[in-house]
Amino acid sequence: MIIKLAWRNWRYRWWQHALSILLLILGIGLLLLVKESQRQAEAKLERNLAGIDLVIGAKGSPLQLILSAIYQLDAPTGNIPLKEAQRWANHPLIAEAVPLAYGDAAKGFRIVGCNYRYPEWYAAELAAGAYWKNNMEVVLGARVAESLQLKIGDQFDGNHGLDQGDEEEHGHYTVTGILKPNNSVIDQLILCSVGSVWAVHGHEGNHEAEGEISALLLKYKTPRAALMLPRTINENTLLQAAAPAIEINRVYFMLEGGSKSLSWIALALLGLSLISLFVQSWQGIQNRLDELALMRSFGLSKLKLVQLLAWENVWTALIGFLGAELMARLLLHFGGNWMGFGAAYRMEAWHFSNFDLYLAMACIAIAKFAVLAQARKLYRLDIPDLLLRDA
Amino acid sequence: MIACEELEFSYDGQRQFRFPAFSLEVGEQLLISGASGSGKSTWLQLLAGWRRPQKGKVYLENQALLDLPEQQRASQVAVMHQNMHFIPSLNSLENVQLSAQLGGVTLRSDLPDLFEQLGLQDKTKQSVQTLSRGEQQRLSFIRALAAQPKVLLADEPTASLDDEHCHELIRLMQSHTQNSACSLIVISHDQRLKASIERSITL
Repeated sequence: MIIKLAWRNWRYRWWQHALSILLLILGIGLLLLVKESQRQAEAKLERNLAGIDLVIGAKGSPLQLILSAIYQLDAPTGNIPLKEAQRWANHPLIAEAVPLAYGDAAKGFRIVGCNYRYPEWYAAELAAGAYWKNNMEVVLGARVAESLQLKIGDQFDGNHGLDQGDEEEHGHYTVTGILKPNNSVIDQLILCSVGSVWAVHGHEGNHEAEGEISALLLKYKTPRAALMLPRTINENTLLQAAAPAIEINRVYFMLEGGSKSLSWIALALLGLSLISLFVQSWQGIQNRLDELALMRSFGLSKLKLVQLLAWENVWTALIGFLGAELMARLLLHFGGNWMGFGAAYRMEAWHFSNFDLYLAMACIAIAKFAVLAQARKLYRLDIPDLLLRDA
Repeated sequence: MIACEELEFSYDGQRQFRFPAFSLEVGEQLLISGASGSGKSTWLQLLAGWRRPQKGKVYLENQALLDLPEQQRASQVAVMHQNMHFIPSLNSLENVQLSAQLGGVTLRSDLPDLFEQLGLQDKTKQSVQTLSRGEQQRLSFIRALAAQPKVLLADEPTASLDDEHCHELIRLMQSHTQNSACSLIVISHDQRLKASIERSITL
């Protein structure tokens, strides 16, 4: 009965709670947005590393090399000769290597030339069809197949360049396989042989020695390799070697700066909403003393009166929290690109964690505390004075 | 039955009020009248159990009123306020139901009849704020009887009513309290009531 009555009272005076709700939505929403996007970004960064220890590519920015070769988020730093790359792939300290060649896309999804080990590194499984056997045959990541509505045997054209906007037709591909959803970068890639990329770019003719690739992904045989190889490659060759772990730490550091600032803004807004809840609670009680005294005169105990008002505040907190969740989730859903993850990366907008639960509990606790601070006043209500004062 | 010993009460030791003893059987009515400042409202507060007298006690069915639990006291001694306070978020019927719910007692079963007899059968779902003053007065009366109290204290119930409505309301209150086995105490300075209520005490 108390909860229902609190809801009726809340609904009757909803506009008095509007400011608190707005501040709660902004404060909690921003906090949720920051934490969830940070969590997802870190999870994606970790997942897509797939045990890759070193990336070799053309000289340039090491971060750009990592972002382009592992996360498919940036343009490659350039091309490197396959012959030179193979020298390092066959190095005794290297366990496995995957050459990557890319430069084209289909409706925003990158076409990546690689070998069969590449999908294996990501534990990708075929949902239908088979891997490519010939040039111009491709296997689609789950999201590519879903977005482009392609099935086995379908044919499509690629576009030159990695951007969606480049309309220049470049290569005619046939789908031979579709991968299961994998929750990694593989989901948004179109995989084919390196030869397919060369074919499109005019290098067909089995001249592998003359061919070029965009990057070489390596896994070490021993941790000792981490001490020797990057330095040797960077100092003694025209190639660049970048360790994903180091570059990703740099990304974390950059993300952390922004997310910390946003978190502070969110906490400031939450502080304001707390003050607003206190003020609104105080005003609400002050303006309804007659009504509260009336309920006391009917037999409502002092404790239940405090509970009633606490529940009215809890409704404010819950509605503010739900509004914040909705705002944060919609922003995650629609704002993935804006958050800087590119068209190929989609945020999981409707993933809930314990953090949401803790935040909801904190909101409820704060809402109740705002009323508890007024409990002394409520316990000292002078019923006759309030009910008969105008008599 | 309600019985009241001689009561004494003062606010902060200043002005001292003294109230005479009386007792009232089930279904009986009493008019407490007096000029402004004579202590009528103070007596009402003592009879409702809202204030503790410095001397004397009020008994409800031979039990000291202030010894009863707060909720029981509230449901057994109903007060009809001159300023008709309602819960604005609830409709007419809900306002009536709430008084019984908060008092922890069962709502009287003939509530729809009561609404009908008092001409409010079409107003049950209506917001209390849209009711006329007369309708609010009748609703306040229904609410007071909803929890089936043993005593009804009516504070200036006929204030601002013309003669016709004044007598009509008193007649309704008398008949319904008698039917409900409830004692009626009317606190008023309205001289018109003296003719309608047999027993009276003037302060």
